[in-house]
Amino acid sequence: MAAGRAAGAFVTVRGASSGFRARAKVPERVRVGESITVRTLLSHPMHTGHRLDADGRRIPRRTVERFVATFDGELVFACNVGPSVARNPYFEFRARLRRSGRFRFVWLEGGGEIVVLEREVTVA
Amino acid sequence: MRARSRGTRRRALATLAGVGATPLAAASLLTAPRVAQGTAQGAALGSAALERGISDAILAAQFGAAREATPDGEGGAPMLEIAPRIEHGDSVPVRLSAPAGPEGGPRTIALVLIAPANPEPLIGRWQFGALAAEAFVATRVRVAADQTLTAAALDDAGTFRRLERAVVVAVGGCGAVGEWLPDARRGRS
Repeated sequence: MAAGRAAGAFVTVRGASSGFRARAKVPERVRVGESITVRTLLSHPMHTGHRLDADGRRIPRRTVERFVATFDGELVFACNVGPSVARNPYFEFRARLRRSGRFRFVWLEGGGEIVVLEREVTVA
Repeated sequence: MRARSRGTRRRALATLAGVGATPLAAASLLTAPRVAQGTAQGAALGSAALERGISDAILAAQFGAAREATPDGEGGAPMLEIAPRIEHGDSVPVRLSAPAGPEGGPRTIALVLIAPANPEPLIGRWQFGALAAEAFVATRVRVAADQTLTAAALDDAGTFRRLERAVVVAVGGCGAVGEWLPDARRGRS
């Protein structure tokens, strides 16, 4: 997939049609053992399946269901969420790194798309 | 309209609570769409107890055999930052965390947030790996109506602690309740 690409590589693994946009704010250079804040956001409508469109038809449920953040394959943060998370799901969390490497953020959503975003971090 | 639909929902949930909400029932709570039929019955059933029952059932489903402990200042107790009065329930900033206890003590591995009056009460379950600096997440959630939210933190010793926080909502998120499904719209004329 995105392995070997430049820092900040972005790829929609499956079904690129919907154009969900992933963003992440990660410090590029950090100190060993420092607590760093990571902010991620995916543009996604998070349709609950409870709303009606203008013609009174139910808008089908379609939500982000899982988000996983790993650093060189090691788990940092993950979640399972439902439609009670607001549209454009935003997750902010804190990591402590021991060596340089690469964050990988993966969003799994109900329409079957998988969105992946990667960020390089230098630890000094 | 909002209150009417909620009443129906509460009645359905009360029935569930009456037969003893099992983890299985809680699981179905999270997925089954509920049709608002529009009666006021059930509105007076005592929402606090019902909300507590829903939260209990979800915690049982999420944490299985974990033992509940009372927060004792030793760490591991959840903290929830959310505005007590919410203007728009559509996108509400929350900060959920569980400050660590003494070095070498149990580590928080999961946080759960429950909005029992939402159409799907389990907002999410957040998991923290070895590289997480602390059990902390900030996100934005939907809150459908006035209710008591429950936050809970699970540690690796198999213990969980909870925190309840009442919120008041001016305009609910989740799609105006009562417009969940076409049936409700027909009933309203």
